[in-house]
Amino acid sequence: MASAANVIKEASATDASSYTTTAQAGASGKGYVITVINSKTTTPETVTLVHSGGLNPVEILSVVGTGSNRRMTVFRALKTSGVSAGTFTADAGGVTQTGWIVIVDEVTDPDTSGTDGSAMVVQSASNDGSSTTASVTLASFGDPTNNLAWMSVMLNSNVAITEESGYTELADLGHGGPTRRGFSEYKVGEDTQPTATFTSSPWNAIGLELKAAAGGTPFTITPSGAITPAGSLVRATDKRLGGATTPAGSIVKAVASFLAGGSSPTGSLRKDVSKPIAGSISPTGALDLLRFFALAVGGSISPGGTLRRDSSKLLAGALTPAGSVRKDVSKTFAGAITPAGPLALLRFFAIALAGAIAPSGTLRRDVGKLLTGATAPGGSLRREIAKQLAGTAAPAGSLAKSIAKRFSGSVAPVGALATQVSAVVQLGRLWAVFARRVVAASVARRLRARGEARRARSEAADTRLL
Amino acid sequence: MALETLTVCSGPGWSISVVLDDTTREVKRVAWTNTSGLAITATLHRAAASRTVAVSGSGQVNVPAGYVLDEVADVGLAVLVRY
Repeated sequence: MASAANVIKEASATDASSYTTTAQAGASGKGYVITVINSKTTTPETVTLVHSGGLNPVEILSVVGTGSNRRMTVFRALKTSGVSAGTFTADAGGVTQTGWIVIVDEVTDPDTSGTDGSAMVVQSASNDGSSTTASVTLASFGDPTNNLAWMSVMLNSNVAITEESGYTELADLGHGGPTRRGFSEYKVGEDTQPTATFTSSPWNAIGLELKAAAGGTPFTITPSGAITPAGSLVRATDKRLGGATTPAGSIVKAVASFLAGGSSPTGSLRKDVSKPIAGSISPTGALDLLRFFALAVGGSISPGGTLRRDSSKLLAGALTPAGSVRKDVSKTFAGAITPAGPLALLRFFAIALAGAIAPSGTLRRDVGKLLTGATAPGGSLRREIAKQLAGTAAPAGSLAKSIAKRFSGSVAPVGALATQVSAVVQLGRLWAVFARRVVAASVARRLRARGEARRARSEAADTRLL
Repeated sequence: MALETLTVCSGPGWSISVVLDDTTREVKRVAWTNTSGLAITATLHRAAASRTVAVSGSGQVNVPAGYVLDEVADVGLAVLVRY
């Protein structure tokens, strides 16, 4: 939590064109709000402020009292490094002033961004009057909880000033000849109207909202030893589908049956051989007439005796006969045939070819081998089933790209962790960032290992289905 | 009657002045220049009355009677600067 404390408060009624503080202050990472009050019988000159320890004070606001004999200027200063304790010198540009008051308030845990404390000052306000209460009106605070309300007061007299309830007084001092008074106070949290009270006197006031460092008070853990990553950075990239997959259509079942076991033919191989004649036949010589004659018997046939039944049974089917035995029936005549009437002449003529057949070319042998025996598969039939999604996948949303960079190698700090408060803010933040990256890399590696295992299981399942 | 210009409030890149009667100390005008880019408002106030202006660029505004900067009457100029 941010806070403020006074580190220098000095007043002098000695005529001088500048004033250098006796006390020293200044440190890196601290914010400084410096109030300089200079007086003169006519309008006092504007003032510059320098620091011997490396700070670079920048003017915020300067007001001149209505009597035109006093000026109050407020400066800011802040450096995150290279600052050492030093004196502050206010300079009126060579013009003698009749009095000086310098108040240096130190802010712990301010917003250190920007230049010379520019981010530390959110807003400023001034006011003046002649009542017994000095006040300024600020706008609503950017952070009403952690930011500081700060106010300084200049009086045209040298009387004590009382801080507002809830405030901490930082400085209250003055000088005579001329009589002047300087004062500062602060509180943590929003107050859009800081006040301070005193006996009646013309007054000027300047108020500030001072921005606290984000996250309140930083505690920095600074590891001793060294961090030495091995190897080079490895970029890990994966892309994932955002949105959802919504299959359309219905599930299709695909079934296939395979014979398991082996084929074991029995018996021996049989060779079937045939030799067709190649070439052509070219008969020579003349044709001889060959005649056949047949005589047809006229009349009728009158079988005598009885019919005789001949029976045979044939097995249908193959290896495993199916169906029932079929009976074939035929009847043959017994007895004698006694033709009646005259025979009719029936003639057949045949003409024989004379000469010789002289095949040309050579004989060609056609050979084929046929397996005899039986195929006797062993084992049982096995059914394998796969289900596939039909339709289309229509993912909604856009692709999301996730990229991570991981350190390969290992981090091997040596020594013990040391706890340090606020002195090594930047180094501590770097360490915090690095630690977060190491943790993120470890998580990413575990997630990727799980993803690869899941993908391997999926591929194994696919292989079984195929 | 003579008028006196008094720069009563200033910062880097801006300043606010009052033009007043050097005898009665009554404010006649409020004048300003602001090239800082900061949002600044100025309010001249007294009991039960006030006059507010936005301090942007260069300009001035006449002030009604009654604003006396004599270190007795409770009259003042309130300025608010946002960074």
